[in-house]
This record gives sequence, C-alpha cells and structure tokens, in this order.
Amino acid sequence: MATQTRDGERWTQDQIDAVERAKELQRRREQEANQQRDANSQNRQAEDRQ
Amino acid sequence: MWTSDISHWVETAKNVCEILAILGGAAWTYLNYFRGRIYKPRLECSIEASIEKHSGHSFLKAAVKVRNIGLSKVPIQQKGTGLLIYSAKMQDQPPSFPSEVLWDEPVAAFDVFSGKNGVEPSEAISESVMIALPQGVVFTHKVTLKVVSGEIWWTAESIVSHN
Repeated sequence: MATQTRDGERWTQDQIDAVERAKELQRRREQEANQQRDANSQNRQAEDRQ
Repeated sequence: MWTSDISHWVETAKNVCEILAILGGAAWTYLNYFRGRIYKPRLECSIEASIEKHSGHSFLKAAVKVRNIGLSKVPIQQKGTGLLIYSAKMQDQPPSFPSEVLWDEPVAAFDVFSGKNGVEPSEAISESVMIALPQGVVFTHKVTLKVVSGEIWWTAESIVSHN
C-alpha cells in the first residue's frame, strides 16, 4: 500500500543533498562493480589463452 | 415624465446588474484561481513495490507513476528526484513490546524519469525499475519516490517484505 501526497511540500537543501549523495554512492558502486567485472573477464581470457 | 422615470429605473437596474455581474465574475475567479488551487502545481505520485524471486535471487520490482492533476505544466528537476531504498534496522533481540521499525539513511538510490523534463496537465508518466537485492538478513525495505519541481517535492512510499 503506497502513501501519496498531492500538494507536495517544501524541501530543504539537506534533504536534496541526502538524495543526491545516495544517488552518487550508487553510481560509484555500479561503476566499481563494472570495473571489477571487466577485470575478472580479462583475467579469465588471459588464463584461457595460457 | 412617466416614460422618463421608467427609463431611469431601467438604466439603474442595468447598472446594478452590471455591477453584480462584475462582482460575481471576480468572486468566481477568486474561488477558482486561489481557493480551488487548480493552477498550483499538483502531482499525484504513487508507487507499487513487490519482491520477486528468480533462480534463487531476490529482486525488488517498483513501478512508479506521476499524474499531473493540476491545470498547469509541472517541470521536473532531476536534482533531488529519485527512487530511494531503505532497509529496516534490525535489532539483535526481538523487542519485548511493539516498537516502530527505524529506517537509516537510504541504502541505494536510483534516477527516475530521467528523460522527462515535465508533466503536462492530465498527463501520467510511469516507469518500472527492477533492482537485484544482495543476499543478507534484511527482509523489509521501504521504497520511496521523490519528485522535485521548483521548491516543492512530492513523495510516495511503500513497504515490502520477503522471506
């Protein structure tokens, strides 16, 4: 069950900053996970070649 | 003399009617514009979230929707707009009395409605997000949608649990 607001409410800079921090953290984690995946894939290919 | 009196009264009645019409129009405009708030930006935000399991992995499926219920276009700003996931703060011991679950800082956040810069009157926009959950001991999540426009933001929340 979801709650809803229709008129909205005024945000504070701290609230917006908290959302942006969480989004940035998520982007960094996804980037690191992708880099790790790429590194693992390259290692596997190198092992296969050997 | 007699006809002049009648025309005078007709003229007066006409003037009174005009004044009443102007006052009525002003009252209607006031009620419609200010009290009715129909030109204020108004959004109806909703979120439906569920947990799905596929091949032993848990996924959080969230469908977010925003409908413009006002009469003016509502621009959406990406800064501050997003889908936030919170995890229930579990205590080591079960509580000895009913106590409200506390939510820490969001454990993850995702951009939503990235391609949209606004919602037209009566328009509804929606988006579905599938999030793979890490395996762990957290079984309850709060999913929150935040939509920012100008100095206002709208919120919709839902709580989902899985075994």
